[in-house]
Amino acid sequence: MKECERHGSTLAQARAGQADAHAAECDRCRDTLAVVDALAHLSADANRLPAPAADARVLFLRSRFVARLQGEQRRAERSERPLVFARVAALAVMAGVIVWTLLGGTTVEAPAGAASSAASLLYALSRLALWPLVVGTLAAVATARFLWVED
Amino acid sequence: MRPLRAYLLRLGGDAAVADDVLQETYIRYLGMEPAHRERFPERPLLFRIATNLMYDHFRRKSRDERAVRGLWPFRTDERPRPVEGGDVARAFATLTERERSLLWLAYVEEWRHDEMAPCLGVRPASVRVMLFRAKSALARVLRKRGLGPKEAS
Ligand SMILES: [Zn+2]
Repeated sequence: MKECERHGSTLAQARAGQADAHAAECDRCRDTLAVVDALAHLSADANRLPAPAADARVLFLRSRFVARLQGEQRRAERSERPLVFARVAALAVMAGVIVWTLLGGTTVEAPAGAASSAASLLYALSRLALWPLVVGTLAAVATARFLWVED
Repeated sequence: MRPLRAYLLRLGGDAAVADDVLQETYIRYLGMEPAHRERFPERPLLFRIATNLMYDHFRRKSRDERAVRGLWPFRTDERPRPVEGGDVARAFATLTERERSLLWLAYVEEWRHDEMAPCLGVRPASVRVMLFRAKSALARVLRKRGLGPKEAS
């Protein structure tokens, strides 16, 4: 399963279109000669075959064009990210403010006799002005993760 | 472009397939992130993409053929697919895809073993043995078909 030790020199000769006495004697080197010969023939033949249905250059230019489009699309998506991010963050903060207002905001007095501790806890939470900000931040982080996770 | 097309043509035996794969290869190549693309020399990378695409094509084709044979209740003759080129091309087409890739990259492209390994998805150490086997296989087919080198010149 090993190549002849004179494989290198036989190969060089085969490419030059020659063969010495060893190459003519040695089985493995004869194989090398035959294979180099056959492949040179196949290569020349393949290069002679009619040009592809669409000219190779056109194929190349077209694929380059497609690639440029793809690149531009990717770039456009990427440049839109801050905008999408800002929009989602703003919406989230707004939603937080609305919920906060609905739950009482700062203007409403605490219910006189908060029936359950859960209700009073909810009320206490709604009193915190940080609340909308927390929701906004969480939403922004989630969005950022979603948008930038591919990079 | 031309050497790659010649390679694909001989690997696939069919100009239409070769051209499809060629185009897809360039699309993949140019669609790669430039930073990633520029990290490797162009030619080996193109050959590597093309080889993988061609192997995908062979896999898909043999799966489809198996599926069709499964549906067809009668025995069908395995007819050799037409190969473009002469007797030598037909002899070459009897080898496996991997043998064809190996021989082409080694004897036409004149790549070193360590350059061929990543393209074929094998370890560099295996290339030597596989290439020797492929060479013997092709020489055997050529001899059997009387296509050996011109005797004693
Ligand atoms: Zn020898």
